Amino acid sequence: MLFNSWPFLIFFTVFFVLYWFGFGKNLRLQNLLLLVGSYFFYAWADWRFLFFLIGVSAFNYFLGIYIEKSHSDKNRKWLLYVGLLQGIGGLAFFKYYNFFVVSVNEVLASANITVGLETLNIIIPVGISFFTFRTISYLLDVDKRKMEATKDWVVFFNYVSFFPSLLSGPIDKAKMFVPQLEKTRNFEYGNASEGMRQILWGLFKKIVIANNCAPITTEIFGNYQNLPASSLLLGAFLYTIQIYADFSGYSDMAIGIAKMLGFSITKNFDFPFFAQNIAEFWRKWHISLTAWLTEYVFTPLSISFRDYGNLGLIFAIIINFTIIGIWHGANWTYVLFGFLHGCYYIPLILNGTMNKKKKIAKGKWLPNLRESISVLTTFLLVMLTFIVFRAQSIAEAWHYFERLFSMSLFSKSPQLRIPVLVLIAFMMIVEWLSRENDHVFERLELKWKKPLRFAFYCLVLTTIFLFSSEEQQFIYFQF
Amino acid sequence: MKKFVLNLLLFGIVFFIYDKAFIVFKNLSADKEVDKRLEFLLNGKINKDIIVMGSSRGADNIIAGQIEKEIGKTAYNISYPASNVEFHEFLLRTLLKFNKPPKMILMPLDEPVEFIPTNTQVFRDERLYPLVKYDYINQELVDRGEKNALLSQLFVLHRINKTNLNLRQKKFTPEDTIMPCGSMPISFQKPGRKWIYEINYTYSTANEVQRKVEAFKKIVATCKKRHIKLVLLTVPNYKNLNPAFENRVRKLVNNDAVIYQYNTQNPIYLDKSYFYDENHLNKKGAVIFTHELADYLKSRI
Repeated sequence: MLFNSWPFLIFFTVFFVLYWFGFGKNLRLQNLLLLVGSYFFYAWADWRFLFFLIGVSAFNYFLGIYIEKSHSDKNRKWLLYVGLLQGIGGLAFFKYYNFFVVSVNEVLASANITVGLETLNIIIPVGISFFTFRTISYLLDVDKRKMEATKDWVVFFNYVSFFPSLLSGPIDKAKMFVPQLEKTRNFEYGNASEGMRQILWGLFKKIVIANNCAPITTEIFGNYQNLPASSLLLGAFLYTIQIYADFSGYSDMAIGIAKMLGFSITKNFDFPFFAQNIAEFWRKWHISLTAWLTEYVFTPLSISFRDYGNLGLIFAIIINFTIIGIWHGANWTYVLFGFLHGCYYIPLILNGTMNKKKKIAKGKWLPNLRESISVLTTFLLVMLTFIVFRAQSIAEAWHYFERLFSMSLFSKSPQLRIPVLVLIAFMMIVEWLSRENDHVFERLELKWKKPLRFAFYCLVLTTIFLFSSEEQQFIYFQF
Repeated sequence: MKKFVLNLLLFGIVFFIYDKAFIVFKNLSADKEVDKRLEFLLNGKINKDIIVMGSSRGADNIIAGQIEKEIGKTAYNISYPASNVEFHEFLLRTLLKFNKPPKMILMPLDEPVEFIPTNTQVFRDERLYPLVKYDYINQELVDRGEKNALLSQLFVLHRINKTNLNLRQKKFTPEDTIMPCGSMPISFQKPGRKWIYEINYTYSTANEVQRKVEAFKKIVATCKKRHIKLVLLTVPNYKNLNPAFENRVRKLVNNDAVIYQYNTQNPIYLDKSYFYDENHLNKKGAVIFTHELADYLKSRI
């Protein structure tokens, strides 16, 4: 059930009414309704894995309690390892088993050894990467005593399967989300209207921007051998915009829906295309994943390697980003994508600017020349890696690059669609003007009078209606 | 909660009223179209003995007005360049719903892409959007999953699309000039062609799109049911005919349609000066082919 679909509108309207009017006064019943709603939502996507989701939730629920109850450190660690084995093992089996088999066969074949390991016909449970990271975060936090294991199974099961963020994140850490499930939620007008505004902007990005870029990028990446370099450049640019609009659009909708239900979930994007270097870009892009990996992977690694100075830091960063890459799926292109981003950090680590935070054009309308160059360079570096991300194989990405850097770069692309570029410019201008806010329409009711607000909503809705393109699946559903 | 619901309702009312301003675009866009043939069909103005229905091979290669003169029967061409067999099925359905059934339908085949996936021939839904003021057209878009039935009744903005906002009078292009009989012959040759003769390919039913095959069968069945003589045409191509494709068509029509093949012995079909490009005749070639076709039809209608 896509957020931008008719069935979801009906589901959410009924759910919202029941949630606040029917069960609003009883937290336990409200949480039960939330769980039923989440399972209904998940079953709509793929009912076959509903039992897997319930099983994973039950297993980690009991494991959390046993970890907490265990007095011996050794037992706690063993229980934690069992949990990690289930989480990472499940992920490895469903997402990476075939990739592993194919890679092993290829490596052995290159040494003239034939083992003939066979691939399996595996269907990946929708959202597995997202709910697995939730359960792992919960077990790690309970083990480190950063939070208490919850004894309320409805709360825990809701944490794992909270429907707004179940299929594509954001990935909330348990210590941030579980307490919200445990306390009474009251309807707040400000939160609900903020939520609706965020949903509106998310819809705009998904329906108008991402769905209109998708046919062009599909055409260009599907036929890149026969197109001029200018088309390939356009394809790389549009795909970068598409993946941002698609994923951040989904995240905005998820956050907005959660707000309407009285929850505050992790922000996932913070206007990443205005980042002035790669480190800043990753502080603004898929924030929930990078924050998760920073806490549970990068920080422990950098502590382990601290004796090696910058070299240790570089090593920790490259491992961290390679994991980010492979988290996206079983393909060497994702590994390379992550590795390249890790490498982009090296100059920043060497000149000590990795953690420097500098707001762009603070208090000004436009950035200065230096900021503009930094922003454009960062965008260009990111765009080049998205060619690798989008390609079916590293060889394909390589051929794409070979064709990209040729004289036909200066010809006119036959795939150029001016209206799509105008819509992208509109999105970028609105985001630029909102760059210091939490999200695009934050506290709009305090800044604009109602008629102006309504006029703006009408304008956005008009573009959504008029420029709605062929329905496209959210890109991050596959991860 | 009360404030939230009230504000939501207020915005709903404002948007509902604002949306109605777009009725202008819905109602006027049909008048600005230069190709009126689909609207003629909807208004019951195409009551002819012979209908030519197909893609650009029908539009460019067959001159309905010439058939009319040569065999003394009324004829009209409702072929749309770049349209596929699903669109032709829609045209036939529309023709029969609002007009008198013709005696004969001439349908050029699009070898080899009639049933296989292609980007060059599609369901021309952008031809439908200027006519969304007609409920029949809106329903077709709903049936095709382009629109939602309820939303398109409630909101004009959902019913139209961005093309409706262009209220400039459309004009013919040199390739798309339509004659009063609906045909669109082209009087020049497409520049930059390679003119490679004899393209061989393997036809496999495994590549077929089921929806296209079903649409084709529906056309054949409808013509049989309504006692309309269906003549499937292989029109001149600057390349070889593939017997595998022809056999496939024969199997699908099961003697419920006649297949007419152009005179492959005629040397003009080997002369590129009679062609617009490898797949289409130019006007000079279309006149010759139409004459050849009219001769064939004289004895059959």
